[in-house]
Amino acid sequence: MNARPIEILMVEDNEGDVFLTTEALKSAKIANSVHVVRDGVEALEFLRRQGKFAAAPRPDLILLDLNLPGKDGRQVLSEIKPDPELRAIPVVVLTSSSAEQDVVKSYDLHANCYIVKPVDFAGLMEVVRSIGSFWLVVATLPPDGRK
Amino acid sequence: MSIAATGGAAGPPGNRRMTVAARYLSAPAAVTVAVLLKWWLVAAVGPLPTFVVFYPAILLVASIAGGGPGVLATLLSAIVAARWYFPPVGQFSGKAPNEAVAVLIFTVFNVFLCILAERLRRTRWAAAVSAAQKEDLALLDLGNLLFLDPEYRIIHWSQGCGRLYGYEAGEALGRLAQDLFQTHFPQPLEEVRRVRLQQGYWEGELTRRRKDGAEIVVAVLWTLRRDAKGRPSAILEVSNDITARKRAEESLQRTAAELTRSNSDLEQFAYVASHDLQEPLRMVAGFVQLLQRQYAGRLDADADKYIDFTVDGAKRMQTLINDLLAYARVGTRGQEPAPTDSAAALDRALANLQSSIDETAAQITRGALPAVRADPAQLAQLFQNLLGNALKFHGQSPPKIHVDATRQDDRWQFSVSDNGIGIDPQFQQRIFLIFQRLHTREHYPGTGIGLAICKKIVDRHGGRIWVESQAGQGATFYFTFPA
Repeated sequence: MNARPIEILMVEDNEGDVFLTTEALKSAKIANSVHVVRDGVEALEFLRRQGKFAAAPRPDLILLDLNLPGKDGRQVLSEIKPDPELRAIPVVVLTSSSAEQDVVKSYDLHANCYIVKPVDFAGLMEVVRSIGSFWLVVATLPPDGRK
Repeated sequence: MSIAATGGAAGPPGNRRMTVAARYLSAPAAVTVAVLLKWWLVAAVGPLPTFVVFYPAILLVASIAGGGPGVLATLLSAIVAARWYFPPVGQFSGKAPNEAVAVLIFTVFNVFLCILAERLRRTRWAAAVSAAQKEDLALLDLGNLLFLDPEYRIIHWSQGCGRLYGYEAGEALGRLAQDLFQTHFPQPLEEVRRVRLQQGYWEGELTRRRKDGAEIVVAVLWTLRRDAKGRPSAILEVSNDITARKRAEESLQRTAAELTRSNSDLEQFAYVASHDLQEPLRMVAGFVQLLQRQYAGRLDADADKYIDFTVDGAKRMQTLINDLLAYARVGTRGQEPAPTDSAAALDRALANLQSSIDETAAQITRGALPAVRADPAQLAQLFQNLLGNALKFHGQSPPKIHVDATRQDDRWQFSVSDNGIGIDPQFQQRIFLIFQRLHTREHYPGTGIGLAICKKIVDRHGGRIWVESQAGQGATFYFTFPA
């Protein structure tokens, strides 16, 4: 396993969701470091280390909500995935939407995985545990995401 | 004004009843009869003038069959008379001057008679045609007929136009058509003129005003009349009032637009429901559960119960929202019905229900299932919901379900019968309504969406769904689909 902390970028505008997901990550004991941004613009600034995010680490995993204020999750995907610097980072869409068009659109934009947030906390913990065990344990990711 | 007669005879009256061959054959026939008559008369009353029987024969032929056959009869008569009746019989030489003169006079006189008869016939025919033409024109005048000069000035105003537009002939004649009617043309008048000159006609829809100011839409056909030198001399207009049809078309278009809009409203609603309505629910359920976890041991049993109820309520709300979405999607996400194998649709439904089939040890049988016009996914869902119900509402013994289909004229009637708990007839209408349930959640879980979706699917395919059952005696669901 990596000696350095696992960095997760959570793009989520709903404070409640941020809290619940962070709790779930904590109790699943998988994330050493969770960074939260509230909209698409911030997410891209974080990834490109612009402005106040100049010292931001490169995340190992992105948890992306779709419906965000301003630049939404779909736009974030459509900017990350064509970008050779960023496209290797796995993006897990974690959203309330079970709408078919969102699922289709997200995969079209090369999301790595689409997950509908369960309504109850137990379900959310289960999902977060699965995300952690699959993307951070089972899957082998590119070293530091870069060649 | 001149319009070719559209009805009446196409030639002299004789032509209609007799072919040319029959008309000309009547000549030798009449001459033969005359010869026989003369032979008989001579035997009965003695010698007769040579030509006496031929005059009536020729007159008869000329007046009935026409001038041409009359002349033929004249020539035949002259030959026959000369050959057999001038003494010595059979020796006619034509050299005896009196013989030749007699035959010549006979011939010329009768040819003259034939010409007279033919002229008389033609005059009578022309009179008949012109009477028929006048009658036709009077009838045509009841239609919306209009003559315009090449500058669009009205030069004939029919009775029909008077009724349609409300103007008397005196008010309309001499006026420019587009001024009188305040016409709105679908294309520039110059363009209309070009097409009209090129094709010889123009047709299109014009919006015009009646005398009372009401706007009407007319479909007009303008045909061009040319004079002897080929120059346009007049425009004949035939028009139909299509205002009612036009209004109906417009209202249909409006309805279609409204329908599209309300459909996209529904899409929008479905999307909002699938996303925005779920978020607050997740907050309620999530935080109450978090509360339970973090404060375990510091809350009493009642508090835990309240939390359970809260979470259960939130989950149920989510199920209801998702069911409502599934219901909405029957209309908005459906595919166009296409020929579909209903047996394959049933197979898909059974595969999805495999775990409940195993659990209940159900026996499922089927008759021969046909191809129908359906959205394949929705037909499978229809089977799945009906079979799912049959599996769910089973009695003491394991479920026995039979699926069958019979042809009824242009449609197939499917049946899904079970041996389950049945449905009291008084509730048989209610079960197809959305979220209507007959049992408590403790006995049979579910929101009551399944049969409502079935009904919506069947409705969408233009079919009918109903149930026949008695409480405790199983139930048979029927639905029809176009073949």
